[in-house]
Amino acid sequence: MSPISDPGFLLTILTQAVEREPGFWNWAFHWFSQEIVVAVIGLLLIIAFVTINAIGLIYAELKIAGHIQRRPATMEVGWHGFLQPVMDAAKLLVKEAMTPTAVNRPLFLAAPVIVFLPVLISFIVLPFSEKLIVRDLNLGLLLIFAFSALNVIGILIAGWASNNKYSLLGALRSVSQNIAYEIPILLSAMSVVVMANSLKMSELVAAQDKIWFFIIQPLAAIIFFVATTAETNRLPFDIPEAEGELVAGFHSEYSGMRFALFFLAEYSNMFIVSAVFVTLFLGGWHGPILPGLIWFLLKVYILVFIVIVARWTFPRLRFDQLMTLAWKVLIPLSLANLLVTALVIKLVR
Amino acid sequence: MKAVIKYFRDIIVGGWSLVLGYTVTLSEFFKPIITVQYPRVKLEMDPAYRGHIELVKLPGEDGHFCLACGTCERACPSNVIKIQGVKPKAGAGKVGIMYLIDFSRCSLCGLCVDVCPVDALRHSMEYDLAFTSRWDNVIDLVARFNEPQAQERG
Amino acid sequence: MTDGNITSLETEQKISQGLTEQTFWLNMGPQHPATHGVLRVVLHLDGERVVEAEPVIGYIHRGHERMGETRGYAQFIPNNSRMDYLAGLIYNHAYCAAVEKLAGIDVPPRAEYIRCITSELNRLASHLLWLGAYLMDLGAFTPFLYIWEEREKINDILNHVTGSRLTYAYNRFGGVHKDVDDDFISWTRAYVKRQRKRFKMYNRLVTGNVIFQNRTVGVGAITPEQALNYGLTGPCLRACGVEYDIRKKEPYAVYSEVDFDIPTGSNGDAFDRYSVRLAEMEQSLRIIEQCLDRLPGGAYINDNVPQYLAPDSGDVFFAFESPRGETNIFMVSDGSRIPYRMHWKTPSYSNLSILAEIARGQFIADVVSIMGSFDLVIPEIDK
Repeated sequence: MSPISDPGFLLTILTQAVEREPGFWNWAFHWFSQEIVVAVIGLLLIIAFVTINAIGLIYAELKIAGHIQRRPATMEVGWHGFLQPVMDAAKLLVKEAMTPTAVNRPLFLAAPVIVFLPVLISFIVLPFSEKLIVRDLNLGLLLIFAFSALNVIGILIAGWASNNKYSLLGALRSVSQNIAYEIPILLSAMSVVVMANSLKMSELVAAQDKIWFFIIQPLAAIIFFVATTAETNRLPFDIPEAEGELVAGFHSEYSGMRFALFFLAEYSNMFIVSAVFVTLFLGGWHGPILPGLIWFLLKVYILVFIVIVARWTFPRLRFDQLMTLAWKVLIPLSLANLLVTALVIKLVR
Repeated sequence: MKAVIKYFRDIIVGGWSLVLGYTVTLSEFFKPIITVQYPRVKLEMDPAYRGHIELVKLPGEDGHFCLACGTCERACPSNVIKIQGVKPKAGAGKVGIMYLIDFSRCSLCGLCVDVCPVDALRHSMEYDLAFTSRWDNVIDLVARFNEPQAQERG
Repeated sequence: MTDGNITSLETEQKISQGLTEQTFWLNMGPQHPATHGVLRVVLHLDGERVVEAEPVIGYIHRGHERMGETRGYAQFIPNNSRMDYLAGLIYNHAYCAAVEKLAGIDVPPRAEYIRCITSELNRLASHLLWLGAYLMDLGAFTPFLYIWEEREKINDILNHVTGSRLTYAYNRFGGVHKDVDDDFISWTRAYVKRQRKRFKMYNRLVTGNVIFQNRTVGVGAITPEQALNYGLTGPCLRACGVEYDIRKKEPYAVYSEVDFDIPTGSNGDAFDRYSVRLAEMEQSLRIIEQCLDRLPGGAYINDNVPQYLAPDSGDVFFAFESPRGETNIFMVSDGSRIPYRMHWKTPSYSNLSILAEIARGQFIADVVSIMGSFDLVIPEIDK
């Protein structure tokens, strides 16, 4: 009888080990309390924050769009329609999640999850304030970029698995757009990293103690802002789901909670890129009088407001013009900016 | 060199046009709302509005003027009108006792009002009519005329 | 930044020869956000490039011409506004004018002026709606609601005089259904003033916008020869630089008495069509102002028109300028109360026919932009 196929044998070994090592329980308790509990609480907090944030942003989008267009927007559910996004979410939850017969079923079901999960991971390293950060990793910035790049795989899978020409076109557009816009994002972020000499989020913020990088690096900031707006598929860069052309792009075939996951990911991504922008260029939690968390959220939501207003102001770019903007304007300028930054730093130090 | 200048000029001019667009939407953002919350707030209808037809009710007059002559019936492009008239007593003129219109097919053109020889018809102020059955669209104007709340107008 | 040509020369050649291995068909419509109605465009695509675009029409054919041949002259009046729902009054005006020409009915001058004012208001409403819808095709949602504010003003004015807001049956043979009052005149003057101011806002928000310019300048360019060959009319033709407007060339109503220009473009691209329409709106405002100044008194309808019109045998041809271009009515009377033959030639039909040629080799997004710039009204194509 082999020890592996006998559970009783394993139990005996374990009991003996515990008896022999009284410190095991202590160690296990410590490990559990420090790692698992922190992870679980962090995860729950993040999920709660992501949901509340998305609901708040949807409400903000409805209201901002309404007031730009001189109408009151939603007014029916709750005070000034405040509960409308909650009701929408509840409606999406109870709605039938349709699966068309011709789709590639496993991929079709997996795609919304693949789009949504990287969002959760990115929140781990966001520095809300000096203390409020789940894990201050050494490569925090890199982690965010790496996982936000995963997003596009989910979109490609969604477009491919839907077995719909509009979805496929939208997904293909999304892939080329993401590849093109990753580069200026990284290059412009790099010029800040070179100055701060770190990829750690807390150190990036700490480096802006005296002066924000936005003032030293305005060009990089603008490029980063434009490129991240494109990365989150917001208008004027929303060609993957261009309504007038591709109906709804890659999520044409999705309904119910699966569609809601795409939506949730879009709004959370908007928050994440704005948060990264604040961390890199607007001094993170730094600010007088108010606590750091308030400053951080204030800056983030001002940026989100600008992004939302852009959606209700501009027409949509054409696919090739989007590529032209990335390859002919953003990438050369960010490269030049990085070179000049590196040169100046080399000379100063 | 010229191409370089054009390259940077395009970027700056283009960026400035986007800023101009922002100023428009942001200034509109702070202006007051111009819409009304329709089912809760209703705008006053213009007196010239042409709803479906109704029989003219004049103050001081008891009955309607319809003679059941059928001119409107013949003038109607969509055949939505059906009239029945009776002679109250021998030798008297006809009086309409039933005036049916099928509102679902009416195009509100007003030809019936134009041709009526005794001006017994006019447009009502009814709007926002929705029914659960297509037979509810058939309205008897005489019955509507005899309702106590029939509006007096014009 | 407009020269974003990303396909290789080889692909270009393949497109011109139509010999691509990896092409597919895409049905754009009959239900599609960009076709504004039930137009179907069958796209033969090579990736994002269009190899062949074939418009398929007939999804909303209601047989208006045939309806006209089965009922009296007056009974066809409500059908006019249903043919082109954005220019109901203009079609209404033209139909009545054609029947008046056929039956030899005099129209009092006041009625002619009222017809002109209401028609031009209707033209403004149509162009405004086009402006909003076109920008929505390009992805800008907000201008649609800004123009709606102005269009609402026009609708209120027209509601006050015609009694309805979209499908007006306002014109009658020999005049109009109801006289205008002082409120109408003062509201219209206030509207004209206000609209002039709003053009500045449109220009700031849209015309100069770099994204809008990228999407329209050089997109769907038509040469004057092509335009004439395909029988394009209206703003699409004028954008190519051909000065052709029925209101000037064969004036009807009182268009010969008012002073206005024919705005023209030079390149014939989507941006020119946009600017021609904007300029045309300003000309419409001028026409309205002049007509209001000269509005004579007197009768608003000729009372001697018989209830059942039976014109003498003969035929009539009448051309007029709808917001989308030249529209023609041809009617034959055999002396009875019902027209023997009625035929309408509507402009969107010929405007759409050029799509197949100029969409070749363009992107899907450009096809949307081109179709939007034509200002297609699908019920008007199918009738």
